[in-house]
Amino acid sequence: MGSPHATGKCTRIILRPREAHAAFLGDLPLDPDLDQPIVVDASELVDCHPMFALRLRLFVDWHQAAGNVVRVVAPRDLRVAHQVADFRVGLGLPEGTVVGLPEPRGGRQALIGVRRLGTYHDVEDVSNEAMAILQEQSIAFAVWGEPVHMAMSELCDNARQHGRNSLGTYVAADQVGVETGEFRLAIGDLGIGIPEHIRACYPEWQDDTAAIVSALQRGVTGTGDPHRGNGFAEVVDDVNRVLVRAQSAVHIEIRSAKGGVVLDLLDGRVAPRPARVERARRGTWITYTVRTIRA
Amino acid sequence: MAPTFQVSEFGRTFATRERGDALRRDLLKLAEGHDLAVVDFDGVMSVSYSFADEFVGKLCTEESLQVDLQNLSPRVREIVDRAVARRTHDQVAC
Repeated sequence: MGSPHATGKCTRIILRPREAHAAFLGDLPLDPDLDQPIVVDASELVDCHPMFALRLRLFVDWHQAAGNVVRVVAPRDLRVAHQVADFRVGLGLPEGTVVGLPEPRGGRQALIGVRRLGTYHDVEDVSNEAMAILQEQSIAFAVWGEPVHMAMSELCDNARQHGRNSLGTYVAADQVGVETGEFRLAIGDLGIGIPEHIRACYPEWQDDTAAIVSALQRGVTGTGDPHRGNGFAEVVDDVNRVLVRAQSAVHIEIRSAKGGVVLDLLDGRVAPRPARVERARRGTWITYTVRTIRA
Repeated sequence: MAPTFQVSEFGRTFATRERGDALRRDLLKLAEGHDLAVVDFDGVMSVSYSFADEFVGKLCTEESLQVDLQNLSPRVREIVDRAVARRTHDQVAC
């Protein structure tokens, strides 16, 4: 992410092209005292990952909730501008754009525009929607309807319940072309994060990555209820049940505070490994990517 | 006669712990004064593990009410069974 520049009249944040390719952008500044208006310049972007769209929307909503004015300059590349618009981030297309004309999108499209989940009804609605969309896609995607319903239900419900954040949880999804057999979910929030939540019961787990790895184990919870903490293990079990049948691989990345974990689910084995984390990040950010393996 | 709790009156898919808690309370209210209630899942397409645990798992391990679960689809049956089995196992372990 480009660093913010206070010009005296506004704060200008320039997003560099490579950043939209990354699942996780560097932190957008959440300082409520930034000079007004805040201008996020996305004009140079050449791609739009659902996590990018989600983070941008969260940034805008967070500042607007704080009474700040945020303006986003849309990408100059029309294909990317359409991708961003598809995610319903709330950007205007560049002046002169004729909406409705077919655009070359490289087979990539938003399945679920960025959605804010404030209530449990919202979680149910978006989980159902994701399941229905996948079941209506090609056979390769249809088999993922139920596991994705489980994943979105559990991950979004956890984030909403434990994040302790008034903005709620955000979710977005896209597919990278039926022909490539890949779709991605992004879930994020600006809550307290997994490590802090889990340390309510396990204060000795001071390393954030180790705390996240532990939190993924069955029966480990920060709620103090011995019957809880099984949701993520169920998500993984559900994935493993359909992996072979679906000829797919699933890649899950979780980042929270100073910790990060990557899970590659390919043949039934689950071996979380640390993700590279450059700096602490407020909230929790999860991507869930399914790739169909071609013979 | 045991009262019947028709789950599909509340929706066809269920995804959260909060929702499970709400349904369990509704069921307990309906079954007040009875030892047994029928919980009919006819028309329910999908449930999450946490919903199943909060709704059925807790009913089976924390309430005195006996429940007869009927018309579960194979998928819903699988998830409910896992939630109940884990609660029962945890209880024994505790």
